[in-house]
Amino acid sequence: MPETADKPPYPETLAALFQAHPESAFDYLEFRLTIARMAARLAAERATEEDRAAMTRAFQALCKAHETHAGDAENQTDAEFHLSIYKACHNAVMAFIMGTLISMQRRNVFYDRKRLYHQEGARQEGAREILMQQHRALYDAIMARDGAAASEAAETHIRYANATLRESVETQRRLQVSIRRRRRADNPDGGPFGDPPASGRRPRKKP
Amino acid sequence: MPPERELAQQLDVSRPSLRQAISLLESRALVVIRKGGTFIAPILDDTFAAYLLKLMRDDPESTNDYLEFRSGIDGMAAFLAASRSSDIDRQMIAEAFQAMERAHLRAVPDEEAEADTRFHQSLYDAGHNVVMLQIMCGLSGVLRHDVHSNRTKLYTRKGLREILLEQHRAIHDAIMTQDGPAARDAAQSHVSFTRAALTEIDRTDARLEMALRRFAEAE
Repeated sequence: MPETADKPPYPETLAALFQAHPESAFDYLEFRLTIARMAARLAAERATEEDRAAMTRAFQALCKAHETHAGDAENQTDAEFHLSIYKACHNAVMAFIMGTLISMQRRNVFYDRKRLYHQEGARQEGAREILMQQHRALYDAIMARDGAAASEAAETHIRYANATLRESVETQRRLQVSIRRRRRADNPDGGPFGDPPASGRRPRKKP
Repeated sequence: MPPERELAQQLDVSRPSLRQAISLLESRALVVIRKGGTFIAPILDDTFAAYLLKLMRDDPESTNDYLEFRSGIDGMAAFLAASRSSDIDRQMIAEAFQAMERAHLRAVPDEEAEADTRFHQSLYDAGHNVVMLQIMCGLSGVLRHDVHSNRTKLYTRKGLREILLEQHRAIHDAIMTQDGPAARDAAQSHVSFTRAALTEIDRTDARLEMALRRFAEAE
């Protein structure tokens, strides 16, 4: 759908519904797994010279954003690269639906994309490199017109995103547990969750 | 939605709390408040529907594209339904299939097409993936007219009706035995078959039309 300044290019009610249910992130990735496999195969088989040029431009932009560590540009060029693959499938319905979902994800409707890139400390660089390698494998297979390899590369990519996101959710959950434990240790009188008493004042310790 | 007083009673909450909840839903664009009352917002807005309909009108290949897309999605839906449906989901799929069998015996194409749509809907429901469910419900909602007329086209053909029923039976059986890969293959080949059959019907119709025109000119 055409993007205008005031209105996002997707149905807002649907986006609100997804946003209200964080677990829809995993449904989105599950849905994309099937479509991305199919799209990679179709793009490898059907891309015209024009499509191939467009995918190459999108891939080069992604490489450039990756090399210059341009965080937001990397996210946007990533989305553009996937869109160029959907367009090369010559299936207008698929391109429209996936275009709609990708424009939702561009605005972090399903999950915050930083969760895939910006992992804890030393693992962050590793995650960026792995994603870039996966994009390259996908691009190379499509350019070689190898449908089976393209489909496999797409599957690896989405499964990785799914596992990374799952890990990120688990890390968050564990952090919450640690926070509660810390609070409990600091407030031994604060009830089962270690919360300070409702008055907000700590009970004064006897001298 | 029912009027405020009624809804407050139904949910057993005070009217101020209800009003607060509704204004929260409104801020999330999930309900629309108009003069006549409070309405549940349509999931897919007019822009989305209009764009999709225009696409289908302008592009003669779009029915083919829709069915190609669906062969992937329905394969996934059947796989998920086989692997994660609850007893209740499977019961509803069984009921939807029984309705197809009844419609088949009565041989009313319109009813068969309707039962077919319901069967596929029950697969999306049992797949328990909200993104798939919303997108596919949205698509079949917007394309209701086209989809129904295509299905009716298929069910008016002798020979095809039997094949279609057996294909749905294969999907149904694989889900009942919770065999994911078999369910996916059955659903995928069913939709691919439908796509090929519709293409063939359209080609035959075009040929017939041309022959009739030639015949009329010769008269």
